[in-house]
Amino acid sequence: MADKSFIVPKSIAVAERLKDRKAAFLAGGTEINRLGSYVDAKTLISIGRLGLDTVNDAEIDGVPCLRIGATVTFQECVENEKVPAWFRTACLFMSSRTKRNMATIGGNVALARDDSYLIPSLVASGSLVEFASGRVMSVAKYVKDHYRYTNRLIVAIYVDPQVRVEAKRYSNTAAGHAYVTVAVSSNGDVAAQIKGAGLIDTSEISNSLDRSEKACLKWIKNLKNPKVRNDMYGSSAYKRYLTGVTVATLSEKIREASK
Amino acid sequence: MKINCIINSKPRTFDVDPTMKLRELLLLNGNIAVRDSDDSEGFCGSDTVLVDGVPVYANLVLAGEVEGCEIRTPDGLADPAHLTVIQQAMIDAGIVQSAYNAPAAALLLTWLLENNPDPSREDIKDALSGIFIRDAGYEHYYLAVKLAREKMKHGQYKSEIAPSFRPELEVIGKPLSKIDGPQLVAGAPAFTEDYVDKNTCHMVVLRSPHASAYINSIDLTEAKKVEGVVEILTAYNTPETHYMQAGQGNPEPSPHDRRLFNLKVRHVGDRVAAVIAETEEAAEKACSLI
Repeated sequence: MADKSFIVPKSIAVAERLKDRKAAFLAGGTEINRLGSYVDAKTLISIGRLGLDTVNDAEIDGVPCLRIGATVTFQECVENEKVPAWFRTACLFMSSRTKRNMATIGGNVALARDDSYLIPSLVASGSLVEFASGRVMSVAKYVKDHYRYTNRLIVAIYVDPQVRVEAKRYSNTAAGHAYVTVAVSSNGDVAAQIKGAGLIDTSEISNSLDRSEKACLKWIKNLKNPKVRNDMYGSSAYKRYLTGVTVATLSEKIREASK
Repeated sequence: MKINCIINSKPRTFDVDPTMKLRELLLLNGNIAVRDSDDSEGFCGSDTVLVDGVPVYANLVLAGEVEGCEIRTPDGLADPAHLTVIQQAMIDAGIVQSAYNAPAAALLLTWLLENNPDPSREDIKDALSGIFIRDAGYEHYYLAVKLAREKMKHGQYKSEIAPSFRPELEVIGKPLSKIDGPQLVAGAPAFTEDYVDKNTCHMVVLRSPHASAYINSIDLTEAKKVEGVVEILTAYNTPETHYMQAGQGNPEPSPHDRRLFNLKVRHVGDRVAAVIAETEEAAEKACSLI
């Protein structure tokens, strides 16, 4: 990488000041350093030693929650019993233990990939993202508008340890990209992510009391925007069907668990 | 940037580009057992090393990130003449075969047993989940760990490695270890890439974006101007010799239908031209100018 520069900032404030369109924050490196990465940066700002690797009890508006630092790795979450089981399950969607040792929570959210391991579960659970400025917003809003925040450093994710989430990820192989990921929470919220389309609009089904398979398939069939395309992972009809059936199945699981 | 780190218990200092991949840094240090997965995706796992006691992919770590770190590589475990218990158990269990990933697997199993002396099958599976290409599948890996633990605890293997037949014969029907197993599992030079000199030229191949097409012409004018380019091969300057690329037998029964370069490309990725240059950067630049 002879054409790139590498900076180790002394503080979070310095890291943010250095960020511009041609720079990228370097956390675990599993995306930026991989062959074929779409992240094209001339300057890499290493954030691995800024103290963003802790997991703590916290409060948001008086509500207890768990604050997970942005550079906490997937494996560190798996091994931390404070981290809710559903979050650890989402981390285990990354099948490679070696990669889980490197990939960070903040990195995965910041990238806002349409096959993200964590985003569907975080969105369904109503989790929040915190920037270096102290501003907090929902992960859902961040993902929707993430292009506006490319110069902002994510420092932590807040999760509600009381909420339950059931999630399912579909890919051709354990290490392959997910083509459909669905998450349903005990709050009633649904998040569905389809490769090529990203997070789809689940507001209608999230607000619906009827989560039968019939109702879910009708909802997904009628969903117009964003468009789900035919590609190597399957036809649009197949991915819509899979999403609808999975919303129904996971909703039933949440319902059974709450009895 | 000066990088100070410890590699296999030895302090080292490098003055390198901090955006160099850790694997390249380790190659500078002579650690050839950190093999190149050639995918740089964090998938194959051939480039597995331990950084501060944690398994990571060396191709996904930059040199600048290991300042002050302690690194262990597979060739730091032992040499072919003095294998560790785990390395020998891997050979005896039959999981050292093509062995490109055997050094990485040896490192991971060593790390596993150091941190968890009594691992379950799920623990073993999880530890090895970062390596895609595993000779012999899972069962023999569980056996290798079992044998290693028995040797550590009892000084000998208690489990049967494989049944033995034909008692009157010495080799046939006997569980025997691979002759070059020690060399392979220790990560000693064994593959073609281990014997390539530093000053060897690099070759980058230009590949077809079309699935089925005829090449009308190839303009090499700008590509040849790149400094360091030695030669550019195409269908116009290579022999019309036909051969069978897959070659599984002798005499090879399959049709000899392959040319080094052809004016017809038959799939996305089919070869169009090859640039040979003194550096990889020069070869890639020239390739982009064809």
